[in-house]
Amino acid sequence: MKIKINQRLLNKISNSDLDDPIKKFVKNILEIESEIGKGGQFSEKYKAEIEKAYLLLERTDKND
Amino acid sequence: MTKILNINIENYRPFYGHNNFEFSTSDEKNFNVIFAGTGGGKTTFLDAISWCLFGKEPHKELSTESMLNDIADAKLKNKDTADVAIEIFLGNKQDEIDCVFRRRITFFKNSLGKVVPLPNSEHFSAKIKDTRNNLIDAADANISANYVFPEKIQHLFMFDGEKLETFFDSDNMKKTENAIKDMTQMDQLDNAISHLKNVSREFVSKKDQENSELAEVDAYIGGLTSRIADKGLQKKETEFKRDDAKTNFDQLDEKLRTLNSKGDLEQLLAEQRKFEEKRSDLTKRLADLENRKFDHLLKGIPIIFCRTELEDAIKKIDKKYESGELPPDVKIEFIDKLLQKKRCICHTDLIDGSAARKFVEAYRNKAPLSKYEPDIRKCHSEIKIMIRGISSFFEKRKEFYQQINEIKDQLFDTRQILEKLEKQIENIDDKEFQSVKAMREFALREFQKYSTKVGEITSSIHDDELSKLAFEKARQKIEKKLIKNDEMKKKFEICNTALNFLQESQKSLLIELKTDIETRTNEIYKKSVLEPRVEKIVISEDFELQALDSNNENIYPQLSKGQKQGLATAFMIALRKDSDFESPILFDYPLGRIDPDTRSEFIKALKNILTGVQVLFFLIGGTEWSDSEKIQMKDRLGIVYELKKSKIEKRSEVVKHA
Repeated sequence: MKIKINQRLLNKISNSDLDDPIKKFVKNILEIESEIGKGGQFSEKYKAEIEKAYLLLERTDKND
Repeated sequence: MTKILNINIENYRPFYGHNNFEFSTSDEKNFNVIFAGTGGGKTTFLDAISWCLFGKEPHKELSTESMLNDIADAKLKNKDTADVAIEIFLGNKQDEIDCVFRRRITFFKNSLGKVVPLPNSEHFSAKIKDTRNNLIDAADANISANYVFPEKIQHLFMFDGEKLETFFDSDNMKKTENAIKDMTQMDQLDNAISHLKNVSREFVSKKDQENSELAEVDAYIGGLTSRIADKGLQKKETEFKRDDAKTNFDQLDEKLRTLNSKGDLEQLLAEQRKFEEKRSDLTKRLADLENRKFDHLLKGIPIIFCRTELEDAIKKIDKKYESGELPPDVKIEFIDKLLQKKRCICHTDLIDGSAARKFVEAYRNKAPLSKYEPDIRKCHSEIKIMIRGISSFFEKRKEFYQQINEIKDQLFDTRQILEKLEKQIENIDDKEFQSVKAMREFALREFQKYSTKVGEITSSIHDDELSKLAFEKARQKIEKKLIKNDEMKKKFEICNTALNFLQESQKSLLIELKTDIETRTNEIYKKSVLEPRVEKIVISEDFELQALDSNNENIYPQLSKGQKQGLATAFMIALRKDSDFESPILFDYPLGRIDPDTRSEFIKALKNILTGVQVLFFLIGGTEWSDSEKIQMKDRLGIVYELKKSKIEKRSEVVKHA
């Protein structure tokens, strides 16, 4: 179960100038924060999300 | 959308045995009602929910009664056990359970025959749906319960009508700010920022973290952090003083009103001034009439009323006679008339031997006889006319005196009123009134002083936070330089870009939320509460919820209890609209304080506002739940339960109405 993320914040992220992989990264870390009953290990989860965002950015750069 | 599907209550207080409550999950019929008379168990029902979720019974804090139902208690034999249990099923539809919370405690009869809770028997568990839609045991039932119904904002989904009416009476600013932050999941944002900061630090190796440049920036950040913390404490203290001054001001204001209810001193003094002016005006008019009462003498026919007037009239007649304006014969006739009629035109008795008669006779003897005298003596008819004339003047004179008397009466009334006013003014304890007034003004000045100080500290903290942010960005640059590995450098950048974005968003989001919640509260309040004096509801910069009148004066303290409840309800509902918070609303005593004249408007507003959310109303049968409320809610009614207090046993019977 998850608690919803503030819709305004999600809109802010979507409408921002951030690169898409970073937008996704921000949304994902907010998802982590909204997960029910799963405390701790934030560092690992965040690092995994950073890794994902990095790979996506790299892929985008190569495609460009 | 989370809804309460079922609640099972077993042996909890007035609910004997198993009691199942099933609620409507329909969006169209989203109003569920539980009504009861006094002692029926309406509030206990709310306590049951609270106990199940948080292990606390808000309305039973001081109760020493056992939680086990009396009948179950009485049926227990020695060393037997009985359970008290509450289960709450949540989900979207009856056949789609997302979550179950269950709390149970066991009671047993000890060797002394006393029923007591079995040590460590209280157990709380939760089942939540996993990704495969299976209900599995939650790792931590308390965390799960808090995500669905966060305990710290319990008051924002479990509305207590009586508490709502005083919600903004104290700590208005703090409550408003916290409510906005809590209901809009701002804590998620706070946590994300804090976690991002920690992760960001881990990109720099431990060795590089000892870099002198970094150490210097860290020292600045550390200094600013402790300064912000100190100022935060100072702000809290000042806020406490400010709230104290506000409470003091409100109390003194109330006291002043009580003193004023005996009769406002200022108002009485104003009345007194008004009547003093009237008295002075009447006195002047009376003096003027008194002066003009001799004017008729100048018109030729003397009318005399008393010795003084007689003397005065004679003097005036002499004057007229000497100047030739008055024929001498008139004078003689006048004097004769006086002597003949004795009091026909005079209020002074000219009885024989009286001083007045002697005076008139002496004057007649002195009166020079004119050459016209013989003719005049013959003209009896003329004399008759003159007598008639005297009568007509006498009538006029009466009118004149009537005017004088009327004014005298008015003057008398005015003096009476003034005397009464003086007594009323004396009755007001002037010293107490003035002293309370002075204390109230002092409290107001204190409140304003501390409010300004809070504002100054807030802005100073804001400046420090900006500086800290600048140093943090500088730190990021240094850190970036220290990271040699390109890949790490890029990852570090991702982390910090997100961090900077979230920090910026945090600030603007709160301002946006405040503005929108303010607008929505206004819309809802105006739909539901009839208070023509309130022009608009405002959430000030320091988060004080205010009700402004047309002069921009905050008249919140003057609102009635029902209006205050209406305003708090409007605010709570406005908050929910922005929060995406999906839990049902449990609304206890929603209509009790609402003026019967505005109740139907309030229900109409609730129906407009409370859409797409399941609502459980807890109403007092008869008072809050009568035929008119049933008719007004009919189109939105889901399931209605009646809790009937048994006359024979200590229990509440549950009656389900279609």
